[in-house]
Amino acid sequence: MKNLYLAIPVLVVSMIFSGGAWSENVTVKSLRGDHVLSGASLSTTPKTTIDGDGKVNRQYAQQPPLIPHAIDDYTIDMDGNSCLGCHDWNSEVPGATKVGISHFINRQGKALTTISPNRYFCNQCHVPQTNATALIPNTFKAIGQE
Amino acid sequence: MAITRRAFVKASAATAAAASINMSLPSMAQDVEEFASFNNSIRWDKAPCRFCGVGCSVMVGTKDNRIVATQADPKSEVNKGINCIKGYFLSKIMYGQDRLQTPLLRMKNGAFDKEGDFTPVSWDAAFDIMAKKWKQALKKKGPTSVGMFGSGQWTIFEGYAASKLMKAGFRSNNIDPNARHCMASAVGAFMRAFGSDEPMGCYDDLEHADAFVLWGSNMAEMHPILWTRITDTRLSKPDSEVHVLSTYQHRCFDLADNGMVFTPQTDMVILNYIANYIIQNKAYDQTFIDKHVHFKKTPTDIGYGLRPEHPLEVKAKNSGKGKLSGITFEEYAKGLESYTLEYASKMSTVPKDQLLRLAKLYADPKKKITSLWTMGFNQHTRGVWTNGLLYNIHLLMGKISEPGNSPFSLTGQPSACGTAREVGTFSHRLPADLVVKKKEHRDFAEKVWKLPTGTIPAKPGYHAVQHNRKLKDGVINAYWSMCNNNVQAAANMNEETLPGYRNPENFIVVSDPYPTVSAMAADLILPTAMWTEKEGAYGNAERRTQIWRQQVTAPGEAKSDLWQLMEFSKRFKVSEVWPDELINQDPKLKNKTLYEVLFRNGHVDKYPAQKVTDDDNNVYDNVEMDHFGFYAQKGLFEEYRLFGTTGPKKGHNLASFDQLHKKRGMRWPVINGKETKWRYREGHDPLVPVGKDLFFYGHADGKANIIFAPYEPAAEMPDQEFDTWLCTGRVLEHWHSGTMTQRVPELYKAMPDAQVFMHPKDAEKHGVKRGEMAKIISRRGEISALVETRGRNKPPQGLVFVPWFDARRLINKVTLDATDPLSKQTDYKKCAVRIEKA
Repeated sequence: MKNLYLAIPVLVVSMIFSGGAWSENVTVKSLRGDHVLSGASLSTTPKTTIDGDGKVNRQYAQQPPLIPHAIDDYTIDMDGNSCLGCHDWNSEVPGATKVGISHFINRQGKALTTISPNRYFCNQCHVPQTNATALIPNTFKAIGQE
Repeated sequence: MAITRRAFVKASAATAAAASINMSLPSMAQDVEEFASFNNSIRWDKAPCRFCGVGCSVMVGTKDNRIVATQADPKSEVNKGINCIKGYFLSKIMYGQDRLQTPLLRMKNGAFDKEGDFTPVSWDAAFDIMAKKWKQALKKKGPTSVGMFGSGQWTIFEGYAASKLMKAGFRSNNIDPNARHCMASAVGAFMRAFGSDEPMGCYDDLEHADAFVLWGSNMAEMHPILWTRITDTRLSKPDSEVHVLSTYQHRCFDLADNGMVFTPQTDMVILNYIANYIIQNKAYDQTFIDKHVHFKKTPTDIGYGLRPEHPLEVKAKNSGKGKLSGITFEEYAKGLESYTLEYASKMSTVPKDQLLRLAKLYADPKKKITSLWTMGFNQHTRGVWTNGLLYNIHLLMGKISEPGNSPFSLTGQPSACGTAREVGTFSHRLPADLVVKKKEHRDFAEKVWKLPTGTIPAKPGYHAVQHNRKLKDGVINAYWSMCNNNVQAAANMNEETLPGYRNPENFIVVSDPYPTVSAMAADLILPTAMWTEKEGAYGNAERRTQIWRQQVTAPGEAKSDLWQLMEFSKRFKVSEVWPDELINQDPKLKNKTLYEVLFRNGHVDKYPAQKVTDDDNNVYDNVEMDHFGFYAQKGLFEEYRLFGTTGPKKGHNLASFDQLHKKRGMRWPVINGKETKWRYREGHDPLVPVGKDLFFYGHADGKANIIFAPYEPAAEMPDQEFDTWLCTGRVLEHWHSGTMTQRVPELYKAMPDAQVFMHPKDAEKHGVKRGEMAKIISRRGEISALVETRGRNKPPQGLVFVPWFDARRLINKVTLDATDPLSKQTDYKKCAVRIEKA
């Protein structure tokens, strides 16, 4: 996997303290990659939100589904929850993941006919994904993923 | 959709996982045999979340010594089966590919060299050089030349062991946690108003209250699970209300009935206006005030916690002073007179009708109000005062210490309460609200620790912000930072932190699981076991102590902070670190090591090695128990518990180690095995004397203090050259400096870059466009970030918000190291910057 920070030219910044220069070694790097701590910020560009390319696979059942589309135009506030327009249990929008049954049980364990109020703000647990390349590979393995 | 073999295996494993915690099964459990085999192969056990101060419980699924899944714990009272997006991805935080697996020392030509390259060394070699540097510093300049920077993310055992090692072992009070940056103002205000730290109420208030007021807290992103509980109440309880105050619009405004954006620092004006309104309208509870309250005032013009030679400190009449003096109710009322609705509206820019609505809410005796705040109040150069101004309102109305009526100070870190505050890992504190400057308290600590009288120094050590200044000045020379990333966190990195870490006179050690920015600035990096790679205990914001078992083994040579602290203590003989007059009190200590004196004292090593099991007879490893030969976590906890059960300060009783292992945490004080939901209230808190109804027993006479404090301006405000306020903070997807969450691909991809959130008109004014890089420049440094004008945070004109999780743009180069002079906590919410096109 290509690391984003490796693709960026190394900034050479001399660091002068009373003792002289100090080394930030190549064998161990922070998330700044080759950028020294005293150097300028890394330049970056806006990432594109993955939008409409199908579902993002989950790695275990308890993981909340990631949102496979942009949500810039949706609102969740006192006036309404536009996510439910497609994702409510009785939605007929093809391909839209329906809200799980757990979301219709409130904190006291009572079954409700509408989404439980403590699940109202979808974006606390469900987030969209951009096309950013992972900064650092993650070696987590799900069951069955050998 | 055709189900593939692999997909099916995954599906049935997941189903098994669900079954083991009594959740309803999805319809995929088709292959009974496979189901059973997976059901037996995943071990599920509880642990508190690694991130914020809410303290959600999660179920950790382990197979073959690896975590394979995590999920919300349905049995937890805190979160009842829900996590936020960070909590759901806990499974991945330990598996970033760049985990540190061996100590790394800066070396040149085979020896330590401050200008050398990081080179793998053994633990032995690492401790050799460390011990050498510590002994050199101690010999040359004494105990004040060594320091330790700890954490509200340390386990309770780790914080306690660190505090013992520093305060009793090295006899240095130069230990302070990163909680200084987040909770010190809250602590200061609790001690001044109530004489005892931490909230009187608990999370149950979120279901009992009629109204919620947020003061400088974006709970929707920073305390998401508590926000689900507030949302639940607001959407299901008729006539409930949510009021939100902030210096910019954020996600909490989506639930607000009354959302108010105020000019930074004028929260103090609004708070005094409300108190004034209550008094002018005679809405206060006279009986409550007569029985339970004193009126006090605090010295004013107290400076900004900058270096003493800074012009603002030179100018301040009462720099750093906080001694309270008594006033009458009339004097208090008089002090508030100028805080009229007109003045409050003019200063804050909040429309009058909105402020009036808020004041009327507090003044309504029938409305049960829970007020919540976090860094907006605490990271404030008048943080102790401002916390207090809110207590004033609740105390005037008697709305306190009962279900739903609750001034509630939220916590940022998972164990800022449990470790930093309760264990007392601050430079001036000891466990259970004791302080080093009181002889009675030192005597008690020395008795518990079985040490000679006079072991613990009486003078408070250097606090967090001073650490970096004293490193730069070469006063502290041997320094150990654990479980935090202060080079990315501490304000004014360019002028204080980095020169301090790189000062050739200093030897800097950073313990961390990952190569952080702080690690890169160190001389020695120690690879560290994290979260469920060790047995641990955290204490959350509602006084709930939660314990977990070690679930998996740490990679390579990584060791827990506890292992590191105890192992390092073996390197010192008492005769090398204590003066003769102290040793002469107990000469047999002379040739013992600090390890023997501190950790083989009959308390800490009281519990022999044992098999750690759960109710299902699953067996768990405990690396420290195997290594040291006794149950160190239990011994440390049970010794620490003596401070709460037998110490001079009432009301800090913790549950026993064994009881906590069985529970989803318990809220202290725990008396006769029962937790306390509302402190100081008869019927809820057994420590209240019979017939007293309400008794603030942190003070001898049981009364709380209403403390008058005026508005005073911020340390640095926008001017012609730097015309914009900068506010910093967190985002939902990332925890603190992003060390863990930036390594979880799903979280990183959800929020890849720290942006500068600004008003579209400001973008136009500064000549920058959405999606372009802009520079954020202060008198101390600059960074650049992508401009966002339509994001989740919507600042007013004249203010920008930048989160601090992104190591690639270190906003702490820009922030100002001004602190509350009383709490020494940095104000990360206010300094002056200008914006330019990058």
